[in-house]
Amino acid sequence: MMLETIFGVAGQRVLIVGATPIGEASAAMFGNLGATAELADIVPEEAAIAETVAGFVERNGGIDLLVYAVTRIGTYALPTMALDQWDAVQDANLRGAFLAMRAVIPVMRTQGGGAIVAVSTMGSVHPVLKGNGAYGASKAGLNALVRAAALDHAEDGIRVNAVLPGAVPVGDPPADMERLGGPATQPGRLTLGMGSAEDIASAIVYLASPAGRFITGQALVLDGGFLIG
Amino acid sequence: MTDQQNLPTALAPFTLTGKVALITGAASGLGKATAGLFLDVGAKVVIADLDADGARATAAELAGKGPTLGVSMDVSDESAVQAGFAAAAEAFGGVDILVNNAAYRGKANTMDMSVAEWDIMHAVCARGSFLCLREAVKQMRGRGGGSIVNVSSMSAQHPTIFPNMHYDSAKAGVDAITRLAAVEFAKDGIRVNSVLPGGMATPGPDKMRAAQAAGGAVIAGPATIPGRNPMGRVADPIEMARAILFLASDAASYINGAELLVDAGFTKG
Repeated sequence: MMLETIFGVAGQRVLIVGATPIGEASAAMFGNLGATAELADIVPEEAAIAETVAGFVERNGGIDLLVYAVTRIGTYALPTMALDQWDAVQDANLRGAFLAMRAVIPVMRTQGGGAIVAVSTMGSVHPVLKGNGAYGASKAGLNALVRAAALDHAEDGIRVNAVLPGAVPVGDPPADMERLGGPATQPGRLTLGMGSAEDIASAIVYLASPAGRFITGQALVLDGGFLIG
Repeated sequence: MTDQQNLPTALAPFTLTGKVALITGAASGLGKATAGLFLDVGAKVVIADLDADGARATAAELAGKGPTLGVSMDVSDESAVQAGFAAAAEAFGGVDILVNNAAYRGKANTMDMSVAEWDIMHAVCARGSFLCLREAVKQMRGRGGGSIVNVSSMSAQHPTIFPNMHYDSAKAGVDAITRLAAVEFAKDGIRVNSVLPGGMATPGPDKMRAAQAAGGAVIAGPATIPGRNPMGRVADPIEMARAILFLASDAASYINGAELLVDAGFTKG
């Protein structure tokens, strides 16, 4: 009972956009904790997001938490990366997040508040693997979007945060670390070894729970200690 | 032709012509390299070191480059610091540049570090930087300003080796001094910045390895991971000295409170 008042998310209406491993783990965890969680496996274009959010709100009477879990990795060498490749990564990771925020914020504002958690990456603040220029840049943009949204909508009772997984399979399929190479492949760099999608979902629960009610605009790194190694 | 005419003028801010610099820990290693470079670009240099004989010997060795003064200075000792700065003022009229380079380099495993070991580290690195800064500010205020460069370490920002908790803590303190002093003394025309070196080929690391071989603290941690340093080599002290020179010089006239990492990209790798 005590724990429920601190970390409980029962009854929350949770929309998770992006059927990535972290999106799926989050949907399962929120469901197990008594929340109403829906996982949207969509291409994050304007119409699809608007439709998804409208449908969710109609079914559930509102939305308490948006988890934007869409993650398109796309590892390309900078000199040969096609513009389409660059754009596809930015569109999925950053443009889609903007569209999803734009769709849910008016609903949250009307109902008196809500929370948004965006799944970013440790690679947005520190090089991890080679070939991640487009990916890291898109997620760094996402971090900035999170901070801006947190500032703009604090007065609406909407908290906006990012989780930054590292050493966790975030894409589908996961990045081929050994083929790419980079700091994360050096022996001993992954201080706690590899993490799981559930490790990230737990942090999203924390940010959505009463325990997270004073946290906004933050980028919570969940990397098994990589950044200090 | 135009380039040749403009070159000396354009490079003038990078020199220290006529400036008086006091460098602590200058008898050897990075301090000595910095002293030599400063002399090369026109400074008068006070070579301060705990090793009084070493300070005098280095001052004599470098005297061919320009005016030098060797002074004995335990930077953790308030009266010794005051005496050293008084000697600098007597010889050269006062200091325009302070390089807080002196450091204690003892290693100790966290779980069996003595309190004395912890304390001496902070006495030299943190208290010493404070004491020297205070004396320098007194003299700089009378000279229209100055520049203070604190030699910190990349390990103030990022773990490098384990038997170094006291060092990392003290150097993080040095960076806090940099930030605060940069704001507090800006009105006096005094800039304060940090250089954060990565691994260097100086006597310090050699002593560390020798101590480990003799049964001392075991060196382990991120910096010992093969391939961890993106450039794959330690620095020559002159590469740090050039960064210190830049921050000390008028070329950095709008840089205040900065922490300049000179670490081969270690902290980004």
